[in-house]
Amino acid sequence: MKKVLFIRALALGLMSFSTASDKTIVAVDDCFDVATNVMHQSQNAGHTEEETTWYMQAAYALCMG
Amino acid sequence: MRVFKFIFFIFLPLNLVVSQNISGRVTYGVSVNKEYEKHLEDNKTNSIFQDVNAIAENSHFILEFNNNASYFFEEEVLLSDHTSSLSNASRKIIGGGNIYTNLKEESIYIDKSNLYGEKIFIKRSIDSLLWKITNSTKTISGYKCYKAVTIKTVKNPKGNFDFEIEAWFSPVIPVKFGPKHYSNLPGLILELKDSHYTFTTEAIKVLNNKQIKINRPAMKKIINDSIHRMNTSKMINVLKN
Repeated sequence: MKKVLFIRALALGLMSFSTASDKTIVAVDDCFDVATNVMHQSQNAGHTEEETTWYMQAAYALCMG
Repeated sequence: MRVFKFIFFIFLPLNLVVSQNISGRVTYGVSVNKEYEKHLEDNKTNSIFQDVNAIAENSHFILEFNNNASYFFEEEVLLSDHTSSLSNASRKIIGGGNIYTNLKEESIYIDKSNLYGEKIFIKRSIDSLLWKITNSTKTISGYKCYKAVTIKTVKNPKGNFDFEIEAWFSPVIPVKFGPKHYSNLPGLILELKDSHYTFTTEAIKVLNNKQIKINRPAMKKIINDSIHRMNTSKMINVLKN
């Protein structure tokens, strides 16, 4: 549920996942972890929640290619 | 009567300065703050932070202003598909989004279109930062500037982070604008050290006795800042625990 919400949040800004294949779902899992890690690092650097959201979106988009 | 005349003649020149028509355009370059660079190196962070910083170092932001309004935006760059999503996010992180400030309305409007996937502006009051103006001076692009400092506190789930913000403003250009949402100083801000990045004037054109029109951006949908903050927190809270 958490992942679904997260992906929906990202999808609002950058992409749409209306036709996700099995391969895409594996990538989603890995990229979810990357974005989560970036979120913690961004917060530790003193970024605002909004800036952190942008970092997460960019990290996720890059990871997904 | 004498006292009245004294007050009148003392304040007359000041009123003339304040009421003169003035407008112009500033181009700011961006550099990464040393403290932030060190933090990233010490903490071995994801390479995306360095990628954003590399984009920052090559970014240019424009501020157009007149007596009453200003518009702050990133200079247009041609992006390849490969880097467009990173560049798009970077520009929001570094510049905070395109910002329209209107002094008469005491409001700023921030373009957050891509965060929501549609054309949306956030409306909020002009910052009421408590600036401390110092005696330090330096010349930037031919204008004598004074240093002002204030503290910005960023609150996020990891705690409160205090940053000293440094602004160099010139009373010779008596407008209250500057990069991003920073304003309310008795002169245009020509250099600003924000929490992670510094904006420095690269080029400036000031038109005295002329008012260029600062067009209000087309805003189909405007949402209040408090609602926007709530939405952003919701996105972050999804992963918080």
